Amino acid sequence: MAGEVSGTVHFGSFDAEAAWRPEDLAGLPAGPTAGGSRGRRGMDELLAVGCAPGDLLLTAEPMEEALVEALSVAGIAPRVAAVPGPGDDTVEERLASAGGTSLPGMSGWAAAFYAVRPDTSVAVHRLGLRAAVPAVEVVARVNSKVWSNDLVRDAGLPGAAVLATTPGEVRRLAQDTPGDVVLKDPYGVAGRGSLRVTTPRMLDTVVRHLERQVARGARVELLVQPLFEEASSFSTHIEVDPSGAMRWWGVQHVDNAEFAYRGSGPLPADQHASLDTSAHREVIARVGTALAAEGYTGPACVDGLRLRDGTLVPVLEVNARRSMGLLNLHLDGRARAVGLRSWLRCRTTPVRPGDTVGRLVSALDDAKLLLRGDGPGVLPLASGTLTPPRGRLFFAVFAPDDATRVALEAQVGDALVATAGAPSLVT
Amino acid sequence: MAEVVTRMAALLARVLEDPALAQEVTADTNLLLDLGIDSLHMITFLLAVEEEFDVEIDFESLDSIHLESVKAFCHFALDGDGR
Repeated sequence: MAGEVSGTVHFGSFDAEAAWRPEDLAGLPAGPTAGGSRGRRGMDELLAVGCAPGDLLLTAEPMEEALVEALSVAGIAPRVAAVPGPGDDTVEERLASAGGTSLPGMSGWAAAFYAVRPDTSVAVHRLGLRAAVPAVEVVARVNSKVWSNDLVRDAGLPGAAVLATTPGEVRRLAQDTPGDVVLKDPYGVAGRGSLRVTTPRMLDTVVRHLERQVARGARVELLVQPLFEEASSFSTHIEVDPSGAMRWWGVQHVDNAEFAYRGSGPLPADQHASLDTSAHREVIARVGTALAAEGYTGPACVDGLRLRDGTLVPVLEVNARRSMGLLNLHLDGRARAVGLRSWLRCRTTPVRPGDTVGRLVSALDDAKLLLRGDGPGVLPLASGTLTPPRGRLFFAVFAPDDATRVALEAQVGDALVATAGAPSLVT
Repeated sequence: MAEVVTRMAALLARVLEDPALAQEVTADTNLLLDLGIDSLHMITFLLAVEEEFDVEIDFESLDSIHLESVKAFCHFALDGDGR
């Protein structure tokens, strides 16, 4: 393969924040969860949407054949290969060790990775790929919410939180803040690591939990901020290249339920008008400049909010990696080519063991809903996230407008019921 | 125990936004394998248990084994194992 053709190799674990988080940081209260690591590992299949024809996608687990075929019918046709290795190892760890030896040769190809993890640089080197890989220490630093909060505060932007470094400070800051308070772990992501404190009892629980960890030598870094009255949420996507120049990818509307991610899509017209401004671009350019000054190169997602009182919070946090919004921008490029727009959606659903995505693809096909690339439709995007008994379905909706998107999405629910049976309990 | 399980089932139904669970959850229901609780739902449930039963859960000691059944979780959270 090498020497004949070349393309881009795509790979990357979606749980990078866990790798960046210092081990001595005290955490918010949490509990064991079902299928968490396996379901998150399956998210790397989503990277297919950024692949050009002939590209190679390396995943931690084999992608189900029904999904490969559905992606191909929709015009997304990378070659896909699972990287062998120990079940608990990330794809980067597998590639950095011996896991890549059975894969096709790809020396000289470009690399596109989800995020820079500790083993990414070794994996790129071992496979002989071309890529600028910033130091993982730099990447970890700029992905901390403390870093982006410092940037917000120094720039005088609205929405800065206050950093608490002791359990007592957490209590005092929370008590001094009117209304509900949000506590954020510096490396929390999509709801894991953010907690809305609604009662004094909850605050007592958090402080007690932190004090126990501090007694054993942990340190506290939690951002404390009031619960914003959010009118809308959006993400701005850029790329910082090795010369320090910044490429503007676009802005996406973000749909969240509390802290859980539900989807990305085109900005409604009123949001577009309020964000397509030189002032917003200047703020984002400032973020790009700060990232470059730290030594970061690569994609970055800047999350922001519009509050109900009209206040714009252009930088809520910075994710220096690929992101769901960027993936939907890739999809949107495909949709625009046929006069449509793309929405990337995520929903939690009951899952029965077995070929769930195959049954879902068949049900969507039978209902004439399956995306074929030349008209409106729905396309599942990952099979490995559908972990029994409750998994996450990521899917794209191509539609001419939001009303059609909503109608199509409602039919996805019907297809899910038909395929998964939607039992509350799996017996 | 039956009354406690009923209250736990009601909490789970509320947290997971699935009213049917109030009737379906039993003392033997596995909170992870049968219900598939994710991280957001888990912390919401645990904090709700503290409020509902006026107990303090030791989050650091909480392990998957304590979630293998509602009965095991009740023992951990309410009977002193988790305090």
